[in-house]
Parts: sequence; C-alpha cells; structure tokens
Amino acid sequence: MVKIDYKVCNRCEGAREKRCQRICPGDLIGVNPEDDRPVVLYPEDCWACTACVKDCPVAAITLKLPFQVLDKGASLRATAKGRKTSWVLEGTDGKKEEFEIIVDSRQ
Amino acid sequence: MEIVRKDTDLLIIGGGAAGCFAAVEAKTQSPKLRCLIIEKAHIDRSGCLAMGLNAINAYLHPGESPESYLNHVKQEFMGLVREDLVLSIARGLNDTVKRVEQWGLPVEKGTDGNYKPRGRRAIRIIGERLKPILAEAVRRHRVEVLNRVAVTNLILKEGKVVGAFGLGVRDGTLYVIRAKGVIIATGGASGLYKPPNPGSARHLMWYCPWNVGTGYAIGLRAGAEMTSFENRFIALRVKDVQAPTGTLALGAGARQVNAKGEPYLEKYHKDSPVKDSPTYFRLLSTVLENQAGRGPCYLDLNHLDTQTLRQFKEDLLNMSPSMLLMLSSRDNGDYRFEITGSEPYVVGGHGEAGYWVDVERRTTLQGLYAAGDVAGGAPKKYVSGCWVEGQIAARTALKEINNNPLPSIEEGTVKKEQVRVSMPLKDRKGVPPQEMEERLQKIMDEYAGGLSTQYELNEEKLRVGRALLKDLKAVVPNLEAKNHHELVSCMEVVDRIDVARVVVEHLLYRKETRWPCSQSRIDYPKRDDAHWLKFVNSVMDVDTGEIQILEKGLNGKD
Ligand SMILES: Cc1cc2nc3c(=O)[nH]c(=O)nc-3n(C[C@H](O)[C@H](O)[C@H](O)COP(=O)(O)OP(=O)(O)OC[C@H]3O[C@@H](n4cnc5c(N)ncnc54)[C@H](O)[C@@H]3O)c2cc1C
Ligand code: SF4
Ligand code: SF4
Repeated sequence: MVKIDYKVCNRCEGAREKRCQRICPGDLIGVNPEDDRPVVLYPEDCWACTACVKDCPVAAITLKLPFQVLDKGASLRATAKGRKTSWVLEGTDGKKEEFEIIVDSRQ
Repeated sequence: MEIVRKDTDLLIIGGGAAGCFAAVEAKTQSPKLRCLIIEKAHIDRSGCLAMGLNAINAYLHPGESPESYLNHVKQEFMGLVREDLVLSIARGLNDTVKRVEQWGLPVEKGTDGNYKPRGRRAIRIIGERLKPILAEAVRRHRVEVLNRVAVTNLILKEGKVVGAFGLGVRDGTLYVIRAKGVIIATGGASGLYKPPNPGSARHLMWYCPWNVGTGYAIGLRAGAEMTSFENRFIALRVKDVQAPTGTLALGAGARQVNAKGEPYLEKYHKDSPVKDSPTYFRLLSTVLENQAGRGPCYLDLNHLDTQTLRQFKEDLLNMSPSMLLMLSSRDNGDYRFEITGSEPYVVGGHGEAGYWVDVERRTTLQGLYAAGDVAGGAPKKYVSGCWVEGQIAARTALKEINNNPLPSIEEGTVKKEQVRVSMPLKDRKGVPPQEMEERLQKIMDEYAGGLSTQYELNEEKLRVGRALLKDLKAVVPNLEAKNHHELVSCMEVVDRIDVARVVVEHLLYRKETRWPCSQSRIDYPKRDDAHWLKFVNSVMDVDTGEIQILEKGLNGKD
C-alpha cells in the first residue's frame, strides 16, 4: 500500500498530470481538483510495484505491505535520478538502510 | 461517448515486452512505416515488467544450442510443446538480449566477458528500469504510442482483422483504429481465480493484475483458435509477497525445507511422476509435503552473511520490493520464508496457453499476429522469448502489409461496440465490477481447481463450474460502472469470464493428468501418452459464444 506524505509532495509543481498519476500501471492515482493533491483513489487495488514510489521526484511516496499480511512493517521510499535509483528502507525499529543502484548503463 | 478515429499501417496492441520489441523491429526494418502502439497503462511502467526483473530466464550460454534448449523445454512440459515455435525462439534469444543490453540494460558479466550465468539458462541483470529502457527505445524509433487506451475488441472485415476498438480509460472515449496489420501482445490473464488474500491485499499477486486476458478474449470473440488453456500456470512463490523462489534458491543459495527443517525434495524424487521436470517437481512436492502434515515449507536463508544479505536485498529492490519489506520486518533473526503455490494463471510465456500460431506467429485470423504471453504452444519463453516472438511477428506483418487502401468500417459495427462498451454507464442494474469479479473468482476457485482445493479437478465439479459460469455470463448486462475507471473494470471482468469459460472447457476435455497441479484430474490421475500426447484447442462461435474443442497433433497439424 502506498502513502503520500503531503508535507513532502510538491504537487509536481502544479503540473496538470502528476508523475505518480502518470505512471501507475493500474491507474489508481487521481488528483483532487480542489487542492491539486494527488490521491490514491483505489488503495486496495495496489500491486505494490513501486512505480509511483520511484517516479516521485521528491520521494514523497512510501510503500508498506498491508497490515493483513504483515502487522509490523518496514517501509520503502525511493527516487530515480539519472542512471541511478536510490532507496531508503526504514525498519520496524526506525533504523534506516540506504541503497544506490545503477539501473541504466548508458553514459 | 466521444469517438476518435485513427489510421495506421501496423497496430500493436499492448506495449509490454513483446509489443515494444515488435515496434522497434518494425521501425528498424521500415523507418517510413506508420506504427502505433495502443497501451492500456503507460508504456514506461506497464504490464509484467513494471516492477523490474533481476534475471533473464531464457538465454543460451556457451555449450547450449537451440536443440538443447528445446530438449529442456520438452522435458519440463512432459513432451507436449510446439517444437517449431520453441526452436524459433531459442534461435533468437541471444541476439535480442544483446540488443536490449545496447539500449542500456545493465547485465552482469564474468571475468571472461561472458554474461554471468544464474543457473543453466538464465543471466543476472539489474533490471529495475528494464521497462523504461524498452519504452525509451520505442520513442527513439519514432513509434507512435497511445497510452491509457484499453483495447476492447478487434475489428473484422470479410474475415480479416483490420483494426481494433479502444476505450480511453480516463475519459471513456471510443477509439476506432484501422490498420493494415495487427500484432496482439497484451500478455496473459490474472484474476481468473480467487487470489490468496482478500480485501486490501487482493492484488498482491504474482502476475500483473491488469493483464486480464483481454488479448485472448478479443481473439475468442472474433473466432481465433486457442490452444492449451488447460495448462494453467501456478507459480511457487514466497507466500503473500510472491517473490520468485528462483531469486532465493539460485541467487542466494536458499534450501527448500519442511517445518522440521528437513530438505524434502529428494525423498519424492524416485517415484515422482514429474521427476524430470524441476518446475513441476518442486511445486508438486511442496503441495504433497503440506498435505502430509509437514508444512509449512520454507526457503531457508539463515546461512547468509551480512555482505551476501546486502547483495540479496539489492536483488530484491530490482524486482520484488515487497519481499524486501517482509525480510526487513524479521527482527527475530529467523530468515526462513514460507513458500506456497499461487492461484492459477493463464500465461503463454511461463506455461503454454494462448493463441494457436504458426512459426511466423500468424494466428488463425488473417491479418492478426501474436507474440509473448498471449501466444501459446511455447512455454518457458520468459522475457527474452517474448522479445524474439515480437521480432518474428513484426517481420511477418511487414511482409504481409500491402499498399491497398484501408477498408471502410460500417457505422453499424462502430455503433454495436459503442453500445456494448457504454452499457454499464447507462443501464444501472447494480452489480459493481468488483462483485462480478469476486463471483467469477469464487466459482473458479471452488469448481475449477483453485487454491482452496489444492488445484484438484474432477468431471462433476467442472460441470458445475461450467453451468455457474454460463449463469454468470447471463447477468453481465447487469454490470454497473460509476465512473470511467469502473467502466474499464467492467470490460476486464467481461473478458475474464470469456477466458474462464474456455479454461473450464479445456480442463473438462483432457482426460488424463499431464501437468500435476496445473491440470490435476483426480478422476484421471495418470499421464496417458497413448491417447493424450496432443494439443487441446478451442474456437468460440462468434454468434452464439459456444465453445468448440478441436484436437491437434504434436506436429501442430490435425
Ligand atoms: C512479477 C513477474 C516477474 C517476472 N520475472 C521474470 C524474470 O525475472 N525473468 C524473465 O525472463 N521473465 C520474467 N517474467 C516474465 C516476463 O515478464 C513476461 O513473460 C513478459 O513480460 C511478457 O511479455 P508480454 O509482452 O507478453 O506481456 P507484458 O510485458 O505484460 O505486456 C503486456 C502489455 O499489454 C498491455 N495491455 C493489456 N491489456 C491491454 C489492452 N486491453 N489494451 C491495450 N494494452 C493492454 C499491458 O498494460 C502491458 O503493457 C516475470 C513476470 C512477472 C509477472
Ligand atoms: S505501487 Fe504501483 S500499483 Fe501501487 S499505487 Fe504505486 S504505481 Fe500504483
Ligand atoms: S509525484 Fe510526488 S510530488 Fe508529484 S504529485 Fe505525486 S507525490 Fe506529489
């Protein structure tokens, strides 16, 4: 399940179509016209694919597993920049582990 | 409902692994060609590849040949595969992988410069961004892409496929697309069976939840011949998060053990009906071990040292982030992960259900070519095999596209599809698509060998399933959509019902057990090569919707 942190989200600087909305393979994210906020309209349909998590330019989206399958969950955030994707994994104890992976070999 | 018309030379339905590759191939061979991809999602992250991959599962390492590859696939699928198709895939694997590497996919190499093997036929990749890399290649080759348009039916004229109808998933626009050749590449079908978890975890499934079998359904409704829908694919995966056991077993050296910590595979080996087929063997042995009261079964990762664990976590980020969340939530230091079989899917890239095609990837409908998970007869093609099929389909389509003007499409044909597609918005009879889907999944689960029956099938239950599906199809006109998103869900469940009906007919017809779990007939528990070493095919009557079964020999002929 993904959660958008509205304190971090910058509404994609007013872009009409938000990055998270553009990328979700299930088209689960919409925008509230009143405040221009992205909203996960169908959270129960999430595939946990992290497409929106990685595509958010300011890492405002967090992935957790549904409580049903994991009642004390770690969480993931990410940003894709250039050839790399950077991840922050936060454990149940609040400890953070960071990863930076080169995912595109073009120079 | 607004109508938008569009013409192209080559129409590709579905911009996934096979579709993207087909498009690039077409534009490479014929740069002036008009080539259009219609994609239900956004090609940057659509279909099976949305999460990423960490291995390419079909590759010929030094010492392997197309023939040795074919032998392996034949052995895994109990001798019943289309040899011509598998060989044609094997011959193209290494070239397509090379091409994608050149487009930017990081592939791990050994000191000898060869790709690093992961098992006998796979290579290790850092494939988190594989889908955006394919999409980028599509854009570089100036392929036109219509994102967020879901195809709902093919358009036929005098028996030939001349285009397709699409539904704008956000605004309900009806697209009427005419083309000189059409490649179908929409992937396989998930969501036919009840998933392992309900509610908020219902989409934690292995296969992409939005590949719903539309490619099969539109072919069936147009009279195309399908094959082997009884060969359902069941994935042995880490429970709840669907992480592939291969990543854990091959990539991290995990042992497969029962509840007591004993490795259990070996003891089944001698008498197993599937001992020569590792994929079926591991799944069946796990089901049997659970039935014998020695479950849960696990993959045991307790041996990993800190450095290997870190590498393993990176592997998971590249293709199975949920598994990493599960792993990182273990604070008791116990790194055993429970494994189970998934709910059944219909997928021609892992299993062999799909369009009946010839070696040039022509379907039985003139003007329609099929590639990837939607095409049947050639299991274990995986992502690289889908690329090869996309390439072959594009080459064939190019040869057969002519300069004749596009045929006109009668208004009546357009009107009919418009009425069909918009009905759930107008005639509100109160059945939301989600409930229709749940009904379908319950019927399939209980009467057509889902998870709750441990995949077991028998004649009487299948007949009940057949009857209940007929009843369900009859209430399709009661579907109600509150908005365009739900309208797409309505179209999805309609397609799933058509596919499910064909699955049940195939399961009823094959009176033996050829592929345990995929197709376990408890009333015919043995494999019967004398009578059943042949393909079960089907065609749906385009007017009545009745399903007719045909048999085809091993050589692909009658
Ligand atoms: C989770 C997962 C992990 C996998 N891991 C590996 C691996 O590690 N190695 C490996 O070799 N293989 C792997 N595979 C298999 C491989 O990904 C597939 O075989 C391959 O992607 C199938 O290609 P395709 O083009 O047939 O389908 P897809 O790549 O799924 O593409 C189908 C496309 O069609 C679109 N579409 C669907 N319906 C419509 C419609 N009505 N209108 C328009 N467009 C539509 C979809 O949105 C999608 O973009 C994995 C598969 C899955 C699901
Ligand atoms: S994780 Fe994937 S399926 Fe879930 S909301 Fe994000 S993009 Fe959509
Ligand atoms: S992509 Fe990120 S910044 Fe943009 S709207 Fe979505 S959450 Fe906000």
